Amino acid sequence: MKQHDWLDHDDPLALLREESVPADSLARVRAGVAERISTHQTHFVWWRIMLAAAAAGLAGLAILTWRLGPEPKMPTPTLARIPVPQLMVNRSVMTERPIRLKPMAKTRAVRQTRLIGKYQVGEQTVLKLSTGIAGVSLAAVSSVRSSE
Amino acid sequence: MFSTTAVPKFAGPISGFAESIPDPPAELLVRAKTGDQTAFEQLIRLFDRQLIRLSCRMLGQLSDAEDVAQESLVRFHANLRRFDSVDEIAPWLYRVAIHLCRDQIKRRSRWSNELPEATVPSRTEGDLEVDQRRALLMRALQRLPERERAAILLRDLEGLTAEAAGEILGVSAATVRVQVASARAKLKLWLEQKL
Repeated sequence: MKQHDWLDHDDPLALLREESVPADSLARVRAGVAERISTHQTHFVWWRIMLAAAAAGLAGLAILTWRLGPEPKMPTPTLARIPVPQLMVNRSVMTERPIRLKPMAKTRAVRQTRLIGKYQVGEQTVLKLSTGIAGVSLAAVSSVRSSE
Repeated sequence: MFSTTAVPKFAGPISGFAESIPDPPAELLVRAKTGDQTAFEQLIRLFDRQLIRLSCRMLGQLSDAEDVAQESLVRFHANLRRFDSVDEIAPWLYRVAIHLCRDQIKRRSRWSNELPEATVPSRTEGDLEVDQRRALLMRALQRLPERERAAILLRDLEGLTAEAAGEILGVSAATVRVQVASARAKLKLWLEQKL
């Protein structure tokens, strides 16, 4: 047999095909795979536990806030809820003296009145109103009882 | 195209590991998908030798090949649910391993232009001359362009068809045939010069 017989065909890699994989190499790969999967699964479990704990904490906080939170506020009276007769646009906020308005002007003032602010005085909710009528103070105040 | 039952085809016994697979691969896959670790370990034994061998010949380094094989198998575990059939596993693993080898080759080329010293798995007993020939073959393989090396390894060493190799490498069967023919010619020429 000539020295180079193994090259004298179209399959020079046949020699490599016969080769086996070393057992220690195989063992290292298998052990490495097992270890990495185990680590991954442990991390995965821990992440799930932490996520579940965080979700439970948030839910608990939401429940506590709901149960122990401040009392819900009384509904704020709005202009639409206040009966027109209760509006007293004919008082000046500065002087507390009645403002003389002709009936039509008074009606117009009531119709055009819009809420520009509100504050609480004792049991009363004081609405700061603007009539939008020249000559009638923009700071005209109407005092009404809250949510009757 | 791929036969998983005929996957273990290495010569020589490997001590310390059971060579017989007690359950059919399809059943192992089903069990592994449900989280059965033992089934998964049995399943990867069908492929790990091939992966090490292919990676070793692609990279020329057994230690790097072990890393590539390990990473491929870990990715396989992470993607277990996508496999409906055992026949899909081998091509997928080959593809992942080839890509990882390419990444490794690119990483190497950034640091050094020299070819790595090819390592041949140590043998407890064997013919010295055969070992020398193997070492020479490994060096010859490392001199091939990476695409031609992958093509000839899949065709001539793993015994895949040109179509199957093309599917793995992302090229046509005709391209694989051209690459393999070119690689064979280069190998033969280089080996004849060296002997």
